[in-house]
Amino acid sequence: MRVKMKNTALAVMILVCLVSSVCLGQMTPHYDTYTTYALDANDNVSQTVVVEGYTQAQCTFTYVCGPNNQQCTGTYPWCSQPVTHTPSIYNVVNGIGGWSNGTPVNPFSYSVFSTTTTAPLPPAPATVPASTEAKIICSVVGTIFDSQAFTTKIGERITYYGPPPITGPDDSCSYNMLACSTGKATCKQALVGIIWVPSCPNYVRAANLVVSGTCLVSYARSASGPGPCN
Amino acid sequence: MTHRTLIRSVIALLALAQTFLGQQQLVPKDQLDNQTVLLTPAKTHNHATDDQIDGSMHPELIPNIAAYRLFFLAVGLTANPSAGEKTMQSAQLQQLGFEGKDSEGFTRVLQTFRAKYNDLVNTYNAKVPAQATGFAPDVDSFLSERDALVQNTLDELKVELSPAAFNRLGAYVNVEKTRMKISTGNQRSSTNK
Repeated sequence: MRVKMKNTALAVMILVCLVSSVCLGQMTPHYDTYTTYALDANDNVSQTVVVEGYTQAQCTFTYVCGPNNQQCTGTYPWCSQPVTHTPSIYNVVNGIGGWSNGTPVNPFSYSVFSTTTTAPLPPAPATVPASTEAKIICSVVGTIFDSQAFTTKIGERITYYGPPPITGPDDSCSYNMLACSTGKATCKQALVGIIWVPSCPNYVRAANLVVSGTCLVSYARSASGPGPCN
Repeated sequence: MTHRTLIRSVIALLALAQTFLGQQQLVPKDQLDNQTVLLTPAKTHNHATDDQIDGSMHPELIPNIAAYRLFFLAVGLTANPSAGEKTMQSAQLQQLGFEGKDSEGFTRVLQTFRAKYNDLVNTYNAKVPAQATGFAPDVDSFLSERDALVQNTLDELKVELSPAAFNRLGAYVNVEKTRMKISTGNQRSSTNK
């Protein structure tokens, strides 16, 4: 008798699950992701991944039941047990880094999680592989959000610029003349955010971070003359 | 026929029915109330799809307030930053060309932002029940407060930074939008309009 009741209860649950299409609950993940890179003066690259957001979920649902097509209310099975959502980030640069997990939180909680991996870049023109992925893992149903794995190649390219420097109104300097002693400059975009006080040097060496073949960011320092570009 | 066989048969029949039901979108999402179940085609884990804006495809659709928030979170240091996070922030400041007062002001403002942001999130999460009960805190109010904090931080930076540095920050964050993916559901509704 007891076994029969158990089986009947199971069958009803399965019926509800299948008919409602949402056996494991109706969850809508709302998460933002962001990957950013930074290159320091020692040719180290930092790859930072951020994932944050929340999950919308509902515990109850209605379904048609009874001989008069009445509306009945059911509760998703996961709502009656402890559930946690854990942010997880894969952040690897040239084999350094890996998966990191944030703090498990309640399903309705707002999660903020980020990781940074720093690795040395080899001299140009060599590149290193870099991969990222962000997930939110539910303790009951597994992955509920996946930013999808992204793999790229990161490298550094050097560009030398020469006179005349163009002084801006805010002590900023810009250059539009290349000063490559050898090689060809891969990145020739305008230098962003460089301030030289009290004056602009005649020559600068700009280190550019190249991600997926695109010159992203650069910083520059004074140089004594032209130098090798790549 | 044993109970087990009976249950298996029921499952098989219902799975077949589900295959057909799963082809239909029965009710538009915006016509549903909280008590109505969404009958969407089956997907992985049966989760509803979320509208994502991919900044690499449409950076112009990423709201500024969301872009600054993500950038501040990536660059603003927590109370106990790792060596890697410190290196990253220092490199970001270098890239932005922030030196002297600009560098100090930016670091200070973002440190305050990060502390306030954590407080805001912790306060919101404290209202969340320990177990999923169907009760969800007022997420819209939280998102409004969150975006107000980002806006206040931006206003503070406008005062702290030199005009040139503030403009560079804007240009930089604008470019960074290409590496952001945002959920429309994680934006305050007014920012999507």
